[in-house]
Amino acid sequence: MSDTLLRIKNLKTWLGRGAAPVRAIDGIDLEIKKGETFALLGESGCGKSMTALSIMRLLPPIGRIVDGSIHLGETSLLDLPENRMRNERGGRMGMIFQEPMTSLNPVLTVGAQIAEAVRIHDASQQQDVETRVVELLKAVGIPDPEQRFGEYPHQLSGGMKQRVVIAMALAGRPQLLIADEPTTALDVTIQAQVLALMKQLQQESGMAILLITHDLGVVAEVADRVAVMYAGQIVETAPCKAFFQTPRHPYSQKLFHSIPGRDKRSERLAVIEGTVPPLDQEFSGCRFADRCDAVMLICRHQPPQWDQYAEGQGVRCHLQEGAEAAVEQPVSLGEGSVAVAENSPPTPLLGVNDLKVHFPIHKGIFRRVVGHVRAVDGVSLEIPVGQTLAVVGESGCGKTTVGKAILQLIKPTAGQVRFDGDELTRLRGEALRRRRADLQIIFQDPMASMNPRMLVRNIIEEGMLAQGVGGHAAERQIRVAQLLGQVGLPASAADRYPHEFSGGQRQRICVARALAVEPRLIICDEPTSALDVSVQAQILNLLQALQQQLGLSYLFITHDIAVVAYLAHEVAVMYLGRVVERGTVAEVLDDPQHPYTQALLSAVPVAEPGGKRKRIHLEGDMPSPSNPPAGCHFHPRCPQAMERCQKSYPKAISLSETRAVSCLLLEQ
Amino acid sequence: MMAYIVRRALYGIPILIGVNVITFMLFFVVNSPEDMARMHLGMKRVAPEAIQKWKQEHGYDKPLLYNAAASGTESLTDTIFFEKSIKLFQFEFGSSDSGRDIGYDISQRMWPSLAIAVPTLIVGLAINITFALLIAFFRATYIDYWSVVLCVVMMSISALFYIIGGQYVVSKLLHLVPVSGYDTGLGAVKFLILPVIIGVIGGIGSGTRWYRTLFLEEINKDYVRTARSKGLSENRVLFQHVLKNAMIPILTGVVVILPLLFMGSLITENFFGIPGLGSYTIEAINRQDFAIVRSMVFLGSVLYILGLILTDISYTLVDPRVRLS
Ligand SMILES: Nc1ncnc2c1ncn2[C@@H]1O[C@H](COP(=O)(O)OP(=O)(O)OP(=O)(O)O)[C@@H](O)[C@H]1O
Ligand code: SF4
Ligand code: SF4
Ligand SMILES: [Mg+2]
Repeated sequence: MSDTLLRIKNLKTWLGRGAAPVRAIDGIDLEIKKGETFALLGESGCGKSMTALSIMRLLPPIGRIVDGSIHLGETSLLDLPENRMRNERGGRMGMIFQEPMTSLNPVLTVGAQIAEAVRIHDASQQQDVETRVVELLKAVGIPDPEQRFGEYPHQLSGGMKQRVVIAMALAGRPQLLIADEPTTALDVTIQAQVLALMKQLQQESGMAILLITHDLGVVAEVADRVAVMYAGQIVETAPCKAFFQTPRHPYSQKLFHSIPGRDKRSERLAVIEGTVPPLDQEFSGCRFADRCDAVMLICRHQPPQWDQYAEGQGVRCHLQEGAEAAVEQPVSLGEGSVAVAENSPPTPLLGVNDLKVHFPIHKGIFRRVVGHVRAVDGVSLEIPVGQTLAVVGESGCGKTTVGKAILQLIKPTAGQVRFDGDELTRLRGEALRRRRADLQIIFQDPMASMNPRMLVRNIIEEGMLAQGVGGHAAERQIRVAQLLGQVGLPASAADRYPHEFSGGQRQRICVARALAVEPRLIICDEPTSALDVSVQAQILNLLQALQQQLGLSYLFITHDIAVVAYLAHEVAVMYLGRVVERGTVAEVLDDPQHPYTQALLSAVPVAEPGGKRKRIHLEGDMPSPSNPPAGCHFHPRCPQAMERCQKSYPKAISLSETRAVSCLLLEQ
Repeated sequence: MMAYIVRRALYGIPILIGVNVITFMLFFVVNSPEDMARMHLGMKRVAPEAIQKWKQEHGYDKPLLYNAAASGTESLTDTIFFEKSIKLFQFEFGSSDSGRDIGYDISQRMWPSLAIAVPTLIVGLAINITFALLIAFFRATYIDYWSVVLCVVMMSISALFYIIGGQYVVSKLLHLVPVSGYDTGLGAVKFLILPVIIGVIGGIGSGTRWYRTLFLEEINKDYVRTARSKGLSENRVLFQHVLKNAMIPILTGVVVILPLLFMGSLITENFFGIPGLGSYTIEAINRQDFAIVRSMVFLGSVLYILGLILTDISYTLVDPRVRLS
């Protein structure tokens, strides 16, 4: 076929030598056509990045390709000598990476870094490298490209940096762009910008994109075809439409069921128990067998063969081999009804009123205070007993600071925090320490929040000892076992160290630690954003179950709207230190009133291909909280901004008992 | 930036006072003004009057830190410590206990010190960086492995061994250069070659190993992978990207010791008979000459603080991410 751009045959990449090398890629076949977007989907550690690095021949020193072939057009990449391979790298193939923050050289200007690529690959532009660089910067939508040329990476925001990396990859006018999780580290509104940019560039240049991601929403948004990877193998390939209609492999199906969303509120999310098996072994059966619900006898002792059931569609599963294919339940993606469990009139447990946290900026010889970073600038919230309030917003909007200020981990500059009748901002010493038992926090990175040299038992006991609860040693031991059971871990876990657990299990330990002092409110600060969807589902299920059993309240800080829809009762949307809209989940998500909320919601990729929603694109980045724009903070980016929006900050308008929006559009 | 430097310099003052107090106390825990007087007048049978006279002449006739006889602020100011310290802060070192002008001695003796320290630093830096880059180029091979082993072996050998071994082989056996001594002008060169070479060799182990670590740390960073993905050659990646970033800690590590080069090296100068500031200090300690010891310690602290400030400034020059405020 002449329209095939990249053809990978039976590629095997191993890491490490010795008796048990890690078979990171274990025989994959894959074809990418000219001009298409091909998504490679899979959970962490299944070999997606290794595939990309193998194609570019940029494997780490311990990695080597042991078998197979990779053809780009007619060229066999694995047979090229290194100096000719360098022409392909950055020439016909460009690559962009997951971490824009670290993938640029901090001591070279962005112009110099792009120019380098132009000099190597673009023979036609040698006279005027600089003009070409500015042209590239313009092509990736960077404002004032002439000025940005001389700036250093740290002067750019995350989204800008990713645009620079894209510009660099485009310098050689590639036919294939490999994008390894290009938007994972970015906020949704920025993610939408970058994805739209990639699409637009693709249409202009006709290049193919190999998009590596773990996000079904992103796949639905941009991909033409999908391959699902599991434990070093491709287990399913299909055109995007067909894949979303009928995922055939049990793993693909589970992925769909584990995405949180509003339609799943009343049910438990599907979880994929266990983890990806270690890859340093020869498999004698299906790699997914230990986690598969449909596992059969044959699955254990015979690896399933690749079944190419149609042109460009195939699956690797014993279920599919017989004629009786497609026994799976159709995946429902339709709008489910919102489970309305909110019946009794809720009594507020936590009330936050006009909370402000300003960090001083010092300057001069005597460190005079010359200004303030208004991280939180007048936030009011209420959380009833047994309910969940989600605080959403882009990174840097002050979500985490709100959480810390409520806990009095940071002293609020102004405002009140009432918890069950007590004014927390006025509590001191012993009284505050006692109150701490009622309010616990769970962090984003479970590993960083635990002392790696303490046993799980001691980690969980620590809080009990500090609060003087839990009784004597034997009682505490029983309590630890009981807590571990509550979060779904075996009692034997108590005598192990944190590093012996997977990311999801560690987060469970953190939940157990928080529960140990019998809190009434838990502040969850992005507790699942470092986890794979299947693991995220486990934690969300756990949190929901605990709420029902123990009547806990949650303040759930997140940027993930799907999680909000699944778990929260009420939402507060934050922008630049202030709440711009709040209300119940149904009110806000179904009928967003604030232009920022509307943009935020429209930017979230939805796992539903072709569902063409109206997309509101926000220009630029969130401004710095040290110098917020005058008037409505959102006006420089607001698509509906009016003359008077620049004058005064809009008052919060109540639309219902639970609903308030701060936007002049609603002021009559 | 200016404000920052001024503030840092002001922070230095309490440090200097502290260092001064500690030197003073340590010295007078071991010695008393009587001991010093005896030492200078010749140990045996000195008349108490002579001691008293010496103390008076040299300003050691007051209480050490606190004058109970005086009143008000005088109880603190009318002491040996205060009178001897306050001049230091005006960089007036005065005369040594044996009567020589310390400021003049320092200005004479810093040149031989610099004549050894500066070439040692520059040659050592060039050699260590070259070796480290080579090792980084051959990372994760046997060359890398054995180079590190060699570095560790070289680090573990005492500096004294290099000095004595070098003097024995080069001077005693081969008669290439004199064992020790010094001369003015160009005549000094033959006395300097050996200490410089030995200084460089002695530093290769730790220097190369440290720079290798810096290079490897940079090589594993994401931006290097990005640079490779552009199709840059390994040489360009190393020189254009890795070296530029690794030079930041290397340079600032050098800048911090630059001012201290004046102070010379205690051991080297002593063994090679170089009349620099290092041997000056050692001699003063042996003679219990408190005026010189105190001046040298003070000078060392000032230079150290200067080094720290220079380091901060050099950061802003080489690292675009750092702005002082
Ligand atoms: N430097 C390394 N040393 C040893 N093993 C490695 C190394 N890098 C990756 N691996 C292993 O190789 C396998 C595949 O890794 P790869 O990075 O391709 O996963 P991935 O699908 O990209 O995951 P993620 O979504 O987390 O980026 C994993 O088992 C991983 O543990
Ligand atoms: S082969 Fe068996 S175990 Fe593997 S996915 Fe199919 S049904 Fe599940
Ligand atoms: S007040 Fe004006 S600028 Fe602000 S969100 Fe409303 S319309 Fe937009
Ligand atoms: Mg990856």
